Amino acid sequence: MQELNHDDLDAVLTDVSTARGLPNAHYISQDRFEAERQSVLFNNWSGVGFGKDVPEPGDAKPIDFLGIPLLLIRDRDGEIGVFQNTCRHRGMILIDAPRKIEGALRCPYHSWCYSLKGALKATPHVGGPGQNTHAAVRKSELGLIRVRHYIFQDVVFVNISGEAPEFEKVHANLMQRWAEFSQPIYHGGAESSFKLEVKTNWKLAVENYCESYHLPWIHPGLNSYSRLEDHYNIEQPGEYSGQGTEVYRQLTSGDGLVFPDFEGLDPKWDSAAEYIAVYPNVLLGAHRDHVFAIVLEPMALDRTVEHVELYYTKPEATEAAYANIRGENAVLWKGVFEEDIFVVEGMQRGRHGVMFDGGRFSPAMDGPTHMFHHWVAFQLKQGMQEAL
Amino acid sequence: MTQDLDQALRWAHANKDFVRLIGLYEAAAVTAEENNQAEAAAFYRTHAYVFALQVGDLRGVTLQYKLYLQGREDCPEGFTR
Repeated sequence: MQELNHDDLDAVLTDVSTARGLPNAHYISQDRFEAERQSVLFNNWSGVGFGKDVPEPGDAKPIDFLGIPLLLIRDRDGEIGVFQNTCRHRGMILIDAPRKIEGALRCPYHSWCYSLKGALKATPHVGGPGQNTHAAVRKSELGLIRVRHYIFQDVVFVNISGEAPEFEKVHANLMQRWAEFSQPIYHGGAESSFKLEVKTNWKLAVENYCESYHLPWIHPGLNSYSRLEDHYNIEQPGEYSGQGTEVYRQLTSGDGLVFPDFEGLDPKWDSAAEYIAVYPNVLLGAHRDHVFAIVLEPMALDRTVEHVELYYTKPEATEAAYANIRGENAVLWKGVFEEDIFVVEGMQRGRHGVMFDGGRFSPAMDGPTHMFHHWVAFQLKQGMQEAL
Repeated sequence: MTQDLDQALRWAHANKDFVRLIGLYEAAAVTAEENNQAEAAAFYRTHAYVFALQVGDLRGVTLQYKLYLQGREDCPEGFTR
């Protein structure tokens, strides 16, 4: 067992020009994975799903987030709630597959029933056969356990610890940066949804996403119009980092169709696009005519599922007339993300090189990646201090 | 409970026909009441109520109120005590 110690992290928590990356153990040690589970993923606002997963009132979807059973529900008012998917009676899992709830949520064990807002509505036979109340069992105290959540760009973020500052406070800068994109978005449908199963630690997917340094080598198809010098770093310490391009080229279908733009965007977005890692595990992309969101689901120390969803700016862009171009766009992005797989899997394998010291960063090109390392190290150190 | 009703209940459970279960359990409750079996009636009516809740069937409120009047359930929202 490798103890987590301050020295490991202090080498990360310094200037990018001298810093080393997180040591190997943070990618290959189960102990570190579990430390990050709490300090990095549970103590902050992590992405666990999408609003589009529960499109209609009554839709419910169970989610396993690092072993914690959660339940995503859209209630009759159209509001999304996130609950622990565990009955308050004997701890039974309430729902084990996505489904529509017509009325109340009935536990399959002893049939305690909950409203879609989590209120305990019925406790059949709790006082004996045919006696459905008992003074010791107060329904008002036994609603489903609510998990703090916030929806941003249709991503469902949760804070498991319940102690993080408000999402709107934590991500005020990002919300300000992308205020122009704070408009309704419309999921593109089945072809705009895909997932990639990758044999890597989830952090490596973030690290790769943050920087543009790799683009000319890993995505050579971009070189003809999107050169390295057309990109810029995005760095907001303690919150997010990523990259932007100044030469975004809107996709045009064979018959000249383009997706409609968001309303009222600054002209700079005619040719700009930004790709931001919202710490810890959500990757967002914003363009004049579409956005995407990726939730990284850490399945295990060295296994991650990338859930990718593409959204458009107007309802008509989700209709049949745009089916071909939506398909083209999904193929384009899937191709780009698949090109990254060998890199993130290769870095994972490389972490078994016992003499690798966490690696050095290019001060010019790797700032956004170091910023993520720095944030993770800070969270871990804070977690260690809280544990003392 | 009659044999026919018992068989119908088994079929509805096996086929997860929750709407049908509401009526069948309430029928069982009425039969039990006719035979002065108050506890059995409450037992069956509780099941009818729970399945009504599950599927959002409007009969749920009436069933809850009947149970409430017998001191076996909370008063439905909006009803007078």
